[in-house]
Amino acid sequence: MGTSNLLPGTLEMLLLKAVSLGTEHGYGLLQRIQRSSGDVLAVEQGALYPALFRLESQGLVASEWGVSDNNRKARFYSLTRAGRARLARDVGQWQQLAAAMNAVLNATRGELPR
Amino acid sequence: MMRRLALWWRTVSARRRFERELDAEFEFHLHARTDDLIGQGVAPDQARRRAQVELGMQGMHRDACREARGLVVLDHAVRDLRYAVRGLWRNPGYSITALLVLGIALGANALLFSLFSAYALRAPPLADASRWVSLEAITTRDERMTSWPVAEADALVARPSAGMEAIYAMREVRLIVQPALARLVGGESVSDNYFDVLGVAPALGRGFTAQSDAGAELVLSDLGWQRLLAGEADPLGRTLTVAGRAFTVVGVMPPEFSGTTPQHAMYWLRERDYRALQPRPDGDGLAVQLGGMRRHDSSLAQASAALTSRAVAANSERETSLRVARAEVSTRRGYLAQSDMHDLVQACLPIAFAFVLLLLVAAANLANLVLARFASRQGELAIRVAVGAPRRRLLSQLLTECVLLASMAAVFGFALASALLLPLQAFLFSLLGEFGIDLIGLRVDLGVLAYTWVLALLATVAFGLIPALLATAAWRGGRSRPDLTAMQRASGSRMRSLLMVTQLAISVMLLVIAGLVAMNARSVAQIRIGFDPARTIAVHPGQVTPALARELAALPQVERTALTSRAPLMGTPHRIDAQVGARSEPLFVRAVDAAYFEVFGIDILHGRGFSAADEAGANVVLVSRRTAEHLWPGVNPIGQLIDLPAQERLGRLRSGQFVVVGVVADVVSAWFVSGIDGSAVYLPTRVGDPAVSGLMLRTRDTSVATLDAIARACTRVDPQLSCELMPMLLAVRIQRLPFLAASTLSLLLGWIALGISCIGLYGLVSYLVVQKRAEIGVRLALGASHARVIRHLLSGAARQIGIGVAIGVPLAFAVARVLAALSDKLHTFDLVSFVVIPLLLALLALLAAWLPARRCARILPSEALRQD
Repeated sequence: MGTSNLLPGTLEMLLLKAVSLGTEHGYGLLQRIQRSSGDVLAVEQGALYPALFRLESQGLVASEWGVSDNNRKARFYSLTRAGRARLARDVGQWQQLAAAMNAVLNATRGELPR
Repeated sequence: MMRRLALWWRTVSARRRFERELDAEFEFHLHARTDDLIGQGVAPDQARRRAQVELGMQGMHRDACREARGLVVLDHAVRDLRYAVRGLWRNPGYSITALLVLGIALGANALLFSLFSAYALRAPPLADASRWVSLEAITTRDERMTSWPVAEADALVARPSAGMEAIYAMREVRLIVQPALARLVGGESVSDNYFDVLGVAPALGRGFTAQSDAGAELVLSDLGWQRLLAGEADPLGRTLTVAGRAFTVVGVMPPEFSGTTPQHAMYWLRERDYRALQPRPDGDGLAVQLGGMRRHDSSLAQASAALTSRAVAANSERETSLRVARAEVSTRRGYLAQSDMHDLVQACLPIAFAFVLLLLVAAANLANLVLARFASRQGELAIRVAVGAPRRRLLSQLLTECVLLASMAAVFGFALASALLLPLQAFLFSLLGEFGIDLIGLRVDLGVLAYTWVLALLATVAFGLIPALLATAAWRGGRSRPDLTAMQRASGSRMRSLLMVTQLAISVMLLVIAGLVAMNARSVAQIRIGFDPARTIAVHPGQVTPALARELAALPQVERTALTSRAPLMGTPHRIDAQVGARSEPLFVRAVDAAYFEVFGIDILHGRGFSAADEAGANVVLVSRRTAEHLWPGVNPIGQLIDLPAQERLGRLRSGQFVVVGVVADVVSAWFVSGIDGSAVYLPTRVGDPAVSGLMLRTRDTSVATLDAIARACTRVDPQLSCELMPMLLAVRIQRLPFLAASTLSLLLGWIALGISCIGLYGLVSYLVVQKRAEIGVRLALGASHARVIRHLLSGAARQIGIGVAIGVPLAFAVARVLAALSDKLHTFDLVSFVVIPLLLALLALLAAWLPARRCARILPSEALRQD
């Protein structure tokens, strides 16, 4: 199975989701996204950090320096209250969009209203 | 300063931490990825490299991170600023020229604005200025009245209309105050609640209270304390004689409170004390102004409606012409009431227009300089684009320099305005001060600074943006290789010539118009008034009694006294529709006694003057020569008849049929602008005639001591007389003042415009000369003579000057025609203005170009060539 690039504008949503699963450093978030997508979604590694910085500037995530599993200093990100609200909204919109896309793609001739 | 330093340091140190943490985060990522790859079986040295490759272009990502934090914009701004400072520092000629040109224009505009702001924008220091309102009435004839009848005002003060928390009454008064020199001093007569309603507290003593047990009370302004009591340490309880009555000083107001009008009050007295001084405190019906505080819970519309019903209910007490249609409660923002504000704006508009033109000249001038400077930087710009700077960055860099210049110019202009404000004010207000009117002082404040700044930034957009766009046009649309035609266009001189021509044309126009205005104003100011105003003083006591006439005539300083119904140069005489033969003619009629013509030295041309018998009530008149020529052309006027009908409103002049017994010389007795009186008819009069309102005195001199003696004589006769004294020379000067001011102001403006143009031309040519050093060097090396190089440099400037003059003169002519449409008294052609001034300007401009050109042609060719 190959990897596929992200749809534009979805990186932030995926990052918010990944952070919502628990406080984690940037590299860990990257792994969470890739693993939970079954290694289908490929996040460009360098683009991860500007996106995180943007989220932090918007107050959607907070960061704190801590120590990683292998005893290195790392910056850990956690979701803020505003981030949680944004995530819920984005997910809602996404699911609506996906359902609509599905409905169009699965439509058969007989089902179309006249 | 320390706090700003600390903030700067915090930013910088936080910035270092930000970079440190950015490094650490990327480093951690690489380590974690490398570990993972090693775990997947990749060799350690390869793992590290792969991790780096996967992470991608780190520099770009780091920049993106900085941008996410808004740091990039700041970085660029700081870098641009530093660059701009260096650039300006290295080109002092350019910087100083730009600073002077823009700074002077900004300073002039700041001055005008400070005048406007002092009267229209700045409010007295009230406790709650947002609820401060003025009460005005609009009559059934749609005239706006700012004053109210005393009875109505009293009722409104005692029982405010609905929607008003409190109402105070106020009128401006000018009374003779002693023991300082007996002269008229301006103050305000106010209702007892004035200070309380306004919410201003005295600095010393107290304000007015409602109890009327004590005698007459006076509150001084800070300036009044200095002037009337010479700033004595203990002013409270001191006695001052105001219009012959003793007043006790009970308080002194703080320096920042000068009353509620543009006139700086020296004192306040209570309205009831004022009425006790005056035999007819109600004057012509409308006497006092009303102001007050609106209630918190009421709107202006509600308050206006309530006031309207109160005012309309009182209409039966008013004269027909003064009946109120509606009343208006409007918020007061400054020292000027609504209607005065309108006048001020109208008066200021043409001046403001001229000042904005001046700024335009400066902006065009600067655009030119900036254009030359940017054009010379094409090489540098090309290098920057080659190393990856987008056009946006070039633009921001060029504009930063302009903004920096404009900011410095704003500060310079502000400083200039601050320095010039006091002399300007002294010039404009000196005469009014002699007349007993002190206007509140002008001041430059933060508002003026902000205004200057905004103006400077606007000018920057004008002078900076276009050149910057032109200079970077070669890289339009993100191309990395320049568009060569655009590049040529940017360095070409067409735009520069256009700008130079524009500003020269505007300068020529401004200067020609200034010359015209000055010429007209001078001719008005120098008009022959036809009588001798020296050593004559008009005394207006309200009513001339025999005792007063005797007392004044007996003064050793007084040589001769005369009577008149209205003093010359202090308003128009009575205008009466007379019957001459079968025609009805509007004539200006003045009642005078026989001595009037002697006091003013007006010659009797034909017939005779008045005799004592005439004064007793003979039906004879004298007419001026112009009147005679107009009414009876080619006929002997002596013995002709004039019928003066009884006038309803001006019933004090005698009516009946009068026979002309003499012709006197023409004079200017009304307004300078109107020139020689179109008609002048003199009726004989004597003391006791109710028509007589003033005495004209010919005195030994018009020194302060003489004025003091006359004022004291007035109060000796009747302490309640408030003798208004007006030396006729002062009246002449007051009439001249607006014209003198207009001529001075317009000439000043014109010279500034010319100066700016010359400075700009000088700067531009010197800059070009420096830029063209190599070219000049080659020319000299190839054998061109110095004179030829100078001629070459000058020919361009000369062409621009020529075109500028050719456009500016017709433009000025067109503007003059427009001005002429406003006033038929304006002469629109003047040889000096239209020929001499443009020639002079052209010569000066050529000189400004020649000076730098000459300097540079002396350079040795070898030196010039070695430089590149």
